[in-house]
Amino acid sequence: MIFLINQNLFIKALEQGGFAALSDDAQSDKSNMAPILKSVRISIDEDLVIESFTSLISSKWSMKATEDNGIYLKEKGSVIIPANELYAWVSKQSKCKILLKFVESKNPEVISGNNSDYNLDNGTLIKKIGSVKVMSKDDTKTGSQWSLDCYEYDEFISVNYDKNKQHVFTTEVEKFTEALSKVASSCLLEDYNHVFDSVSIEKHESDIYIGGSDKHRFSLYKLQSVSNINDSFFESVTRNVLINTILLRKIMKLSSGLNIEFSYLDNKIVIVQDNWKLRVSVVNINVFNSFPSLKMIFSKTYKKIGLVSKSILSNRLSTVSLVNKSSVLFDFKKDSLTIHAISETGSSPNQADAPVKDIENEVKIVLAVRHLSDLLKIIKDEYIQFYISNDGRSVKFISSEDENISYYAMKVDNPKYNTLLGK
Amino acid sequence: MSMIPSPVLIIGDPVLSQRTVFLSKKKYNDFSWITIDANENTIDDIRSISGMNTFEDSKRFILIKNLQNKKDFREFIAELVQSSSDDLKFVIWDSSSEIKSDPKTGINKTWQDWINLLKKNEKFVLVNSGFDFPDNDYKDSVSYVESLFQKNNKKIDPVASKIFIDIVGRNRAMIVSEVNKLSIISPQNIDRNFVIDNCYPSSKSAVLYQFGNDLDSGDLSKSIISLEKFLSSGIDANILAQIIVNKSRWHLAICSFYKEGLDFYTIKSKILGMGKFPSCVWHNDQLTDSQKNKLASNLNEDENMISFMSLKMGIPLNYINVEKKSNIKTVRKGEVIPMPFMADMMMSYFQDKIVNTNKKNYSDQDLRNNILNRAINLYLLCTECLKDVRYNEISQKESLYEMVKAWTNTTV
Repeated sequence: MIFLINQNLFIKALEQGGFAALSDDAQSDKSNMAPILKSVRISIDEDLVIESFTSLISSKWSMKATEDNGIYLKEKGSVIIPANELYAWVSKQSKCKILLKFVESKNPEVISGNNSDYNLDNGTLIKKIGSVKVMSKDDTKTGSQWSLDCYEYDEFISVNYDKNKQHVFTTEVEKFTEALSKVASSCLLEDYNHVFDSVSIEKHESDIYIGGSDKHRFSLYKLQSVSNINDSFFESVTRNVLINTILLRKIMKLSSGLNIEFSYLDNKIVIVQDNWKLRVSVVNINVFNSFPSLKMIFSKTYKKIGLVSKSILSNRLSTVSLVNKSSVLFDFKKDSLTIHAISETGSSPNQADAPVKDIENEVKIVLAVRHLSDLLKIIKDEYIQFYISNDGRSVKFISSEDENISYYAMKVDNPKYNTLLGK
Repeated sequence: MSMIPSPVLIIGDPVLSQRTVFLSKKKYNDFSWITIDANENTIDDIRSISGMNTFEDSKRFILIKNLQNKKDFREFIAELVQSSSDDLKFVIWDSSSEIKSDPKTGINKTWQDWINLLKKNEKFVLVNSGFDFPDNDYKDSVSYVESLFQKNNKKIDPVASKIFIDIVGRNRAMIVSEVNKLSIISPQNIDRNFVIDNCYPSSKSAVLYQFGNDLDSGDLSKSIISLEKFLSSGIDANILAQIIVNKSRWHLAICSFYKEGLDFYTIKSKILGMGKFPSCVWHNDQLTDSQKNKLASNLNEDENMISFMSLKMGIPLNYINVEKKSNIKTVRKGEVIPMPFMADMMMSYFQDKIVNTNKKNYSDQDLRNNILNRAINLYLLCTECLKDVRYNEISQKESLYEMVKAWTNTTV
């Protein structure tokens, strides 16, 4: 196999095609399969194809191998080479063409991987069959060259990304990325059930929503520019679809096309975008039931409390939270809001006032400081409109600048505030 | 009315406690489990997290781990757990082993008072996973090992369980883990040989025992295989070399007593008394073994030692100065044979492999002389090889082979 490719195209191809191999999941693998999981397969014939896989993710990047696309085919073939090393080397080159050339070894070597405790069958042996020489040359006619191990593995999975998949919806990359950034802060960084470290995608009436939650708060964004919505899919699933937030953010960061297409297949989400196809395992949608559903959220009725200036609220909140960083009492009275902080540590109680406009209901509620401070980062409005649910257990915020955003936070039961609450 | 306990306090061995937590999570998996690390969260955080409402009205278990040894913290937890209800349960886990237990006096008063405060909650449950057994304990640890094997429908004899404790140590989690592993492969009745062959040595003296056991077979190839096994499992060459040197020094002592004409039984009790403190007790021929044990343990107390030295030995009190800051235990410690059955092992090697193998070739006196000469040469060679192992890393393995070869060559 010999071919020449533009460096900037190759780096993008490696990031996308080698997404699985470059993931933490693959790079930290210690099993016998580690050399393969950490590698990408580069095949060139009519198309240049770069693909990789782990047990949770598989990714494929492909493009016509033509000179117009910046790919110069000399000799077709296929190699499996370590992704991280190749990516690191390619990213060090700049504005140049890169040549890849496979050099076969006369003495192929069977490698058993890092974990010798379990044996691979003969049919699934990983062999080191040679090396791939990588060379770069820029406008100055100079560059660098390196050599990487090349493996052979008969069972390298070639995923068929189109077979039996159920199309879910298509949306614009830019809009989806923005929506994701608004809801991601409400998710946990890690949840061993992989429910609350994920964002949900759910349909309500005719709209598609993306939501993030840590059980105690919920941020919701109504997706815009959504097309080809598969209604029968959403009718067939009992709950929403969950996708790991960090993974999805990484995917969106690498996305470069205009549109992105989501499909579903046996607890896996297939994401297709221009030359890039990804398949990601997701939580079994029929098993989990602890993620708040839109039906439950929208069934609650909320009434207005009042409008508070964002900058004043931010200032007062940061002041009172000097005493209690976790939970504070919001006391909405006629024309003013008083925020109280009482600590268990023995510090003197702290309080601050803020003006309230258009007050409709006098309310006292204990809320988590973090929930409010995250809200202030998401919402860009000059004034924050507070709503309270009829049962008094949660508050809601809707942005007037971007009506697609809504944010819900549950109250905190803290007996330290019982006297102020009149209990 | 829910029968689920709350608050639950889990104390004792961290590994066994972790298993209790794991099983509890599994048992009450319809509850949502929220873990709070008291080291990373303030008491305000703990209060807020415990009191946070959820969208779905789920039942919650609040697991508080890494307890802090602070009065405020204890008081706060005692007050917090009173808010237990059918939907809110508390598990307090002393994962950092702040609560310690003295074998004689039990749990320290401050923590015991706090536990008594928690006990006032109607559904309080204390899960004590047990603490490590004291260093000199055999009674409780041996019966613990026996009971664990019994749970797995296996029977272990008392001598074997004593050796088991010596090899594995007195940490409960290590004991449980080793018993579980051994139960898979063990016969119905477990004897000393099975324990020696299969227990994983967790201390230096246990390595000494297992490696020494192979050396004392007098079989060169078996000893070399054992040496390589220990080297490949990460035991340092210096430790193995030191083991052979120690054994050759003890062997030299045995041979020296034998040269003096002592019988095997007397030699064994002599080497067991070697290095033991105080020498005036251990080398007093008029005392029986049990008297020596009793007296020596009494004299380990400073006050008893002072009165012994002044009243029995006639040393004036102003001549005796107790340095409280110095590590008295270290000063008192001489080189002893770490475990009594090792003396058996040394004697059995001496009798079977040295005396019995060579006695037909020599007269009694010649045999005693030659045996001592072999022991001296063996000891000198081993100390030379130890130097090589310590200071010349390249020939470490060769030096160890040389020592093993000399030890297994039993001809005098």
